[in-house]
Amino acid sequence: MYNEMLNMRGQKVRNLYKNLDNWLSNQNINSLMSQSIKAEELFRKVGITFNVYGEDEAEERLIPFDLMPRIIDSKEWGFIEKGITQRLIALNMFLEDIYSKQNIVKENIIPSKLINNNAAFLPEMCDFKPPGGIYTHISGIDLVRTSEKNFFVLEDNLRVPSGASYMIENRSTMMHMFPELFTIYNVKPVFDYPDLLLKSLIKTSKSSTRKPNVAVLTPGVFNSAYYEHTFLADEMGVNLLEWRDLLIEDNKVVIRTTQGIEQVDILYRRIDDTYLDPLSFNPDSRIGSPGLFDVYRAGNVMIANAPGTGIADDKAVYSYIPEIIKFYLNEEPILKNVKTWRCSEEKSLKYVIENLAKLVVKEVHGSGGYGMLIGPTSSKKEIENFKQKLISKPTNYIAQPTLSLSSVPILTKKGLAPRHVDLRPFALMSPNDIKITNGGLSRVALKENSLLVNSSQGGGTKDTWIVDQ
Amino acid sequence: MLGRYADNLYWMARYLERAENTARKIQAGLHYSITTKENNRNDLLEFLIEDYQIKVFKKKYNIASTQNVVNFLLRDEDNIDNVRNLLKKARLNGKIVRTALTREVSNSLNQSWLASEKLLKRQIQINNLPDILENILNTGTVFRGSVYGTMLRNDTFNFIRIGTFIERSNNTVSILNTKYYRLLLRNTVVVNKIDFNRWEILLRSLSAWRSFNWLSGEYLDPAAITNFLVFDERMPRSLSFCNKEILSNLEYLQSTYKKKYKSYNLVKKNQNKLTSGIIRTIHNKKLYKFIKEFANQNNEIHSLISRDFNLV
Repeated sequence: MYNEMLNMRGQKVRNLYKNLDNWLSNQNINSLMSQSIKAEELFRKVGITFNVYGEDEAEERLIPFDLMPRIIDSKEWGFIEKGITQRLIALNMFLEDIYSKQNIVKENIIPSKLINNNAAFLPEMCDFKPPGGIYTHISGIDLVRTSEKNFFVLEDNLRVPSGASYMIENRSTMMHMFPELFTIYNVKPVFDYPDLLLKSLIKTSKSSTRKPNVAVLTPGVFNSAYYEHTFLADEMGVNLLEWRDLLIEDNKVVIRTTQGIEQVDILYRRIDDTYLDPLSFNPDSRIGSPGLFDVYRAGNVMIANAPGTGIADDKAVYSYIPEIIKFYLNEEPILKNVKTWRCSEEKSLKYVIENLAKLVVKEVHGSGGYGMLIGPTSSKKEIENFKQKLISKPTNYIAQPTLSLSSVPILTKKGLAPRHVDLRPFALMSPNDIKITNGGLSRVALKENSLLVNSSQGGGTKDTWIVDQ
Repeated sequence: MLGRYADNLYWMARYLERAENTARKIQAGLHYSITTKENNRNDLLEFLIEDYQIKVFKKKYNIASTQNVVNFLLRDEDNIDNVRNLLKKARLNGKIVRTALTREVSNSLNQSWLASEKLLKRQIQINNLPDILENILNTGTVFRGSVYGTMLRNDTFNFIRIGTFIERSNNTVSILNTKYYRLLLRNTVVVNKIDFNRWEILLRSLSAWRSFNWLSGEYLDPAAITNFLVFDERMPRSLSFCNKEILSNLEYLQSTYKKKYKSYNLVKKNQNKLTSGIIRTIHNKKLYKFIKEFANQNNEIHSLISRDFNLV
């Protein structure tokens, strides 16, 4: 296991963490713990909470925040930024291709079935070019580190990735509580994210003579990420809308304001594709705005991310990303992909069934750590139950080896203790430009040896520092 | 501003004011039940519980003990306007429009909700009641204080203030209209002991007991009391005060939005009635008619505002 703070023997502090270690040696654990409680109170008072699905009442919970920062060298970060940029350019080209000529299918790089029979593929998007040619305006790329040099991409979240608000709130909290640490380290800022987001959306939208009216579209106050939706709308200074606010008039999207009707030009939607427009996508859906998709196709509103981007972060498509990068860019992938077995393939399925105890098995369209199996930490009974599910619908699953995620220290009552982490940087794409946040959201498993970093599964977050040495 | 936002702001303020009014009524009722030796249970019930709630209450409870009444009003799920629920709804409305509020205002809402979830979770013992009520009343004060002290004077502010004062006006008018019209109809200046107690509880529930005494000396004159609660612009729960606040906020909206509104016209008409000297001297029967009309018009104002500003 790679420990980001300590070297192999677990004794010597790595250069990057030396100043933090010095600072810590002058701190008292008890007073740090009480700071940690203070941070929690602050989060609760402000209402930085999330709702957990599947619980009786939509109960509000805090995402536990750990005070120990995670530090990454800016040179290392440069490498990651290049890797993400390469990946996103390729994925956007992939989307443009599969919604037009499907060259990648014609040349037998990806089987047609995987695209055209995929629930995330939206035929309604075919032969339509979104404004600026951009599909993936906002993405959150999940990275894990397994050794000093090895970073893997675990998932590309191209639908409605969350977490940017926590990245910013975590930084605010750290600056509020430990201002002196920021004089010791030269930490790159993250506060410009909402501003960059707004500019990037406006730049991508169809040029217009008047100032475009931007809005964030939320499923509503009971959504697990509602705090984030309000945060981003607030920081960008735009309206936060629910589907019931959207009216379609004269092939335009309008809202009712206290002063009358107003047109909306750009929707940063935090709603899944299938709920956008019941006329076009899901006739059973009680939410969504009937006719929205027609307005979109007429070019009278920009939707970010574009409907149908989910096909590119499908976990089965994920396994083809090295090929996708080669096909469109003629380059070797900079960031590694995790080896993935597609259970839809007979040989792979056989291997996965035989090795369930060693593997991580995920639903192709799953997220948030729901519906997955982590072989090494599951009981025989759990594995047996999962096997039945897998056999009854193998196309629904992929499997990956259990990665040894790197660890960083968290603060516990007994002092510092290593815990596994991942990292989600956010990337903003506009024509000819990709901006990546300095760092991102580090998610940390709070239980010893646990690999589950998802907040819905009891994970916490950390402030992540990109520093110049 | 999105019409739905204005609606959320308006209701956030209304629910909070309603919770505070209930707490104030319970406080007055508690004082009454402690200080009055006679069998006052039905009085208490009649005074504290709104007409629409009485059926629900009687279905569930055999006796109108203070304990039962208090729990019904503060936390009983069968009573949709229980204080816990009101604070929850106020906070939910505030959460929806979090972006329109300052951090101070949304913190005050959050804290009131967190405190009430803690205090009103279990059966309430009468011994703890004074602290609990104090806490709820403080909540409202901190909320209004932070609105007043930290919010920009724009339409957001106006919709919050309108919500507060429509609810408050409704509360005062409903106490005058439904609970005490019999008292209002008495022409006598001499007040018997039971009526005295009723007047006291009425004034206390509107936080007006001390201020009325301060202004009028020791004499509890029904005509003076109603004049005070209806016409006195110095009294923050009088109809006249509330109406003036609603009017000034609508006036502000008219000038910002550069439009004329029907709601404004109606409130203005009421204001003229409240300030003209004619009504002040009218006979009690006419006054009662006036109050009844005023109650209906409050509902009308609510609908007009909803229509004028696209509240959902």
